Amino acid sequence: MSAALPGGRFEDEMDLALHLLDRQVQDAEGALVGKVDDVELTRAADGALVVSGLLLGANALLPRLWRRGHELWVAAAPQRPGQHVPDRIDLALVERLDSGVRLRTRRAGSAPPARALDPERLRLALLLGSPVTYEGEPAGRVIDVRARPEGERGLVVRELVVGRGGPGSMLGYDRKADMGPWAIATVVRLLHRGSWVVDIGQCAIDWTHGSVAARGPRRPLSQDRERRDSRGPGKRVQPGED
Amino acid sequence: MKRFFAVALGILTAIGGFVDIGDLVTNAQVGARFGLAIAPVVVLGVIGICLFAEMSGRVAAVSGRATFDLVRERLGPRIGLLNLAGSMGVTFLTFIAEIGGVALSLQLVTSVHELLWVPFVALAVWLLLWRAKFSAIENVLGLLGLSLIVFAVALWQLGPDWGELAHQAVTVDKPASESWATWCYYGVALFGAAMTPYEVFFFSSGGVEERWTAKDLGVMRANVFIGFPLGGLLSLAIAGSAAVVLQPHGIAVDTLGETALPVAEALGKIGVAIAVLGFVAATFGAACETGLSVGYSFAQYVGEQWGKYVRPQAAVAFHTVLLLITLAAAGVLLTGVDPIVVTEVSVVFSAVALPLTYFPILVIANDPDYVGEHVNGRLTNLLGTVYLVLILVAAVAAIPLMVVTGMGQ
Amino acid sequence: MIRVRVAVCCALLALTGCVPSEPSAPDWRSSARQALEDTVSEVETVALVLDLESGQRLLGSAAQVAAVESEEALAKAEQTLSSQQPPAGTERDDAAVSDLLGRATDLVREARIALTAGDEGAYDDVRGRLLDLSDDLEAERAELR
Repeated sequence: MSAALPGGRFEDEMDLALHLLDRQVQDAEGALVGKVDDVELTRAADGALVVSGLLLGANALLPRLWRRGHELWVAAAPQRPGQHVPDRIDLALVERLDSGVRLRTRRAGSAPPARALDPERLRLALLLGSPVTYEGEPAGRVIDVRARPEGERGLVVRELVVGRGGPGSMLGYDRKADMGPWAIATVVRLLHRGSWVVDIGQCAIDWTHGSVAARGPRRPLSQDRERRDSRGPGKRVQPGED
Repeated sequence: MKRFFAVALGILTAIGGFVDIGDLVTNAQVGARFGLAIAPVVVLGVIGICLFAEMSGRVAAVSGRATFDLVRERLGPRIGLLNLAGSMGVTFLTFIAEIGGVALSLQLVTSVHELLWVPFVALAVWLLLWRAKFSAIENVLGLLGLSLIVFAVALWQLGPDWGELAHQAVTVDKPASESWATWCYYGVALFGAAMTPYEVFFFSSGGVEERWTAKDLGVMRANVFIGFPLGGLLSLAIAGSAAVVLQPHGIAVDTLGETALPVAEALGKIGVAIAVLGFVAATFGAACETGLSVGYSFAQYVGEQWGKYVRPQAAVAFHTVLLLITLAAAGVLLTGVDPIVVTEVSVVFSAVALPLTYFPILVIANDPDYVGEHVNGRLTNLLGTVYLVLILVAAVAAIPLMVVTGMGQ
Repeated sequence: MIRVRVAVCCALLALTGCVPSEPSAPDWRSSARQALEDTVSEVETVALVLDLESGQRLLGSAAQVAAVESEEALAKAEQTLSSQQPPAGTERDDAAVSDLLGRATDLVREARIALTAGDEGAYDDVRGRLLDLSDDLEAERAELR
């Protein structure tokens, strides 16, 4: 796959939960397609996780709202091929990411059902929120996943952010040095003062049970602030009135 | 010149569209029982709504995204779902109350029973939401809502002791016969009525509907900082006229007719006719706004296409939700429940839902990813944080107060 | 306001199989005071409506609607109180309150009939009696404290 990588935020290191997940997807004309309900990760030959597509629809969102309930639902309902498969947008169709995802094409036909279940294709939702043990001791949960663009390989997952609370509960205050209001920023930073970042190479991820075992060097989250200024919301496109 | 008219239209529409059935009923009730002693709460509520409406309008203008759209992005799908359930529930309750309000107003002028009006009103609301242009709905109903200025005129005409009224407001005089718990309950209710959650969500979605850009920030701010406070003055006029005419007789307000009696005393039949026109316009306009808000919230959580700025065929889920809630609202009203009671309940639950609404707006208006360079200034953030605390207090106190006072007995 | 109490009372009535509740004396007096306060409000409303109508200051339909709504509210207030069993020692008060509520219901009905029929000659008379009744209601309420 050698199509140009998407632009906008995809050109730098990004946090998948904070910057990509739950974002609005718009087609080339500005019509609203859906929200990024989940992100598809593909395991490359060397074991690295690469962002390969966006997953949309109730089948992608419901497991994130209540995993156990969704599992029971899937087990209880009659099994038809493709029944519990979410809709998928290939990353090649994405033009850029600013405050939302902009596609290269029009809405129609951009999100067909995902291909059949494939052990090499994994979901971000399985990783986010997983309990993490650091050198044997429980140490929080995965609250975000950092990915970097690496040329031909695409967007590769490089680091895990671990801490207390749910994914995205830092509300973006960790990445911007002086985002107001002061009171909320302080409360969020206090709640997350024990959060840390670890390279994914040092983690053993159990995808079946949704747990992660980490070891080796790690660094506190508070050292990471965004180096570049914010890009702002990006160019707007709205469908014309008929 | 054309720009001047556009700005003037925006301001006038903001004034006329500010008052809804919650404001009408709660202000009249409070005026009749407490005089203007709780007026400071109205002022507090108006400042609050101006603050947060400007924030959500700014988000809509700069990012092209409506505020509720961004709640799920910032808070995650689970909290976003909680927010959705709370917002949709409270706004739907308000929607029912507004449709009931239109029916009650029409009953006042025709003597035809309110229940007979409900199906027609619901049908009219749905048709407008389906077919009419967004700006047409807003402008026509907003301008007609200016009829409620008759309350200010009536108050003037009644020639009250202004010094006495001002004294009541400033010193927060509580009538001896009322308890502090009831006073607090009505304070929370007034606060909820002034800062109803749907208003900010609707304001920002409306900004996207009307295709605001960063160039429209000035006009938007004029609408908010001139239009909303003047609308708040109308609320105070309703309370004041009730205080002057009804309080001395010990008349408690629990019908829409009683709300109009002060105008009758001051200005006679013409005044009543204009007041009822104002009732119909304000409640009908608010019915459209609350209906649209429920649709906006649902579609913006799920990510589906929403809005009247595209053809209905392009926003099927959105319009289906609108149809379903209109049918449901009509169904609830046809059980004979009193719309005034629904209004009173919706106002209290609006107070409960306030933190869910305003916390995300405060965070999002600070995020350069959405508003670029137009992030909140220090003063805005300070006021926003203060209001967040106030809102939390009101939200936590609302239901206990409702139980303890038996809904304000 | 009284409607919530009515709703709660009706639910309780239904559940208890229409057995009247038996409150204590202070509770009963509190309910009676509330009923009297609500009645004063309705009586004064109708008096004001009659005054405005005879001065041609109100739309006829609005006057009728207001009178009908007051009548309904009064009926509910009376029913709420009468569903409670007056405890021992309050029989005199109960008789006085019931008498006053009954007079209020009759007078408001008379007003409603006059307004619907457009019988303007009767307005002043009915209004006068309503205002007298209002004074009696307030007096009884003060006594019950």
